[in-house]
Amino acid sequence: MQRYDPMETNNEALIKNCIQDHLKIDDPAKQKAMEKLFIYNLLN
Amino acid sequence: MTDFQTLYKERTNRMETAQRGGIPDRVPVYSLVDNWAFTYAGYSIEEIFADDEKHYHAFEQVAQDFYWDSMFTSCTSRAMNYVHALDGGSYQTKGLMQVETGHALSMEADEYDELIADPYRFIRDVVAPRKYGLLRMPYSEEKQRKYNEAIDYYFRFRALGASSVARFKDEHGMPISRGGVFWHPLDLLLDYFRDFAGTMLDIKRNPNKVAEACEALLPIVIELCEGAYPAHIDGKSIFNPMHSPQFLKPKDFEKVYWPTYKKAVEHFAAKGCVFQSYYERNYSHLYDYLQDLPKHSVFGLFEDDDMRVVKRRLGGMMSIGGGMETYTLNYGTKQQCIDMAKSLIDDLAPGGGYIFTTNRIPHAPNDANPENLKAVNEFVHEYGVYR
Repeated sequence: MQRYDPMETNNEALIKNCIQDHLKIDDPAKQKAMEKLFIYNLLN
Repeated sequence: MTDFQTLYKERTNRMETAQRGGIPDRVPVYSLVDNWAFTYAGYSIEEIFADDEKHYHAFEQVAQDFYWDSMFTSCTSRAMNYVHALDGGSYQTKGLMQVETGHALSMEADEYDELIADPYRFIRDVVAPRKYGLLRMPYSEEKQRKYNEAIDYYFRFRALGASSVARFKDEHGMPISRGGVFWHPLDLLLDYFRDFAGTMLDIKRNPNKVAEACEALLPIVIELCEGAYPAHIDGKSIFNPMHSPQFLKPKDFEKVYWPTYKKAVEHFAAKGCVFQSYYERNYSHLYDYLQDLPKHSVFGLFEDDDMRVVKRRLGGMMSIGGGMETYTLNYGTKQQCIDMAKSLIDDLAPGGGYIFTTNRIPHAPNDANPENLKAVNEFVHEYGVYR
């Protein structure tokens, strides 16, 4: 199966930017919890 | 107290007593209805995902037209608009919501060590780009905009779930049992990483690695379940659909499934929660293990097992549900359905701990003839009284 370069897809920034800039969540603990939830929700 | 508040309290007490193995005032009638609700209410699956009010109304129609003491859910289990916005995933909505063959495979057999070392990173950087068009695109403002839009769909779906639970309570006095959802790590591997053939081969070739992956994923699954459902609420439970054990020999079950399943049940039992384990197909080869779970912490739903044997073997340590065959509900006469329901109550209700429900989750239109379902639920409501 193909692998994609994480530096190119930059899904880490994609998720973090969504939490900080789109959802406007400032609390670091909430940001971390949300990040975990969003990654887990990629299992579909 | 309003009539609906009184009704909600009565139904909740009935369900809580029965799922703890006790004797309530009457046998609870429990709905496992899922996607069947759409076709019953006259909607296509596309319509309900396009219109939240239709989505709600489909389940409301089921709550109003049949007798229930508790319902498993008040909306579907998948945020399909979110999944579609990501451009991929295993589920398709073609008439029914189902997994397309081969679409779950997104991990190679030699990638277990990477998954074990950092599951979140592995899902985000390796698995997700294989699953979704959006996640394999090079990063751009356009990609960010589309992902934000997908997340908006996700939160809209969550809001529908929360508001429908509140409306069922306030407008119908109807408890919804699903507090949290727990996926066993092996079922995650099967459903979202390795697909059926890959998972079964891995268990044969490298069971220790599979067990190690289950241990690595367990804290994640527990943490996320607790995030949604931090403490027990009477009448509610943690829904735990169990896909893979039906295919496992006892010696394989003992290696790759049982240790993490038992840990999870013990973890939530210590917090006072009830685990609603949905034992898909047949578990008669695994009863000896299940007997070692914490007492009165599991509400077991059974599909193809002989319910009388289940009651004899497991009834002392878990509450049990099931028995009303969807096949008979759809193809049998009304009298055949009532006879089956009567026999279940006669054999399984004595001593408590029995919850009347179907032996399958009704998804497809032909999973139940509405007239027969209505007749058996009303019959059990009357006949299932403990005197």
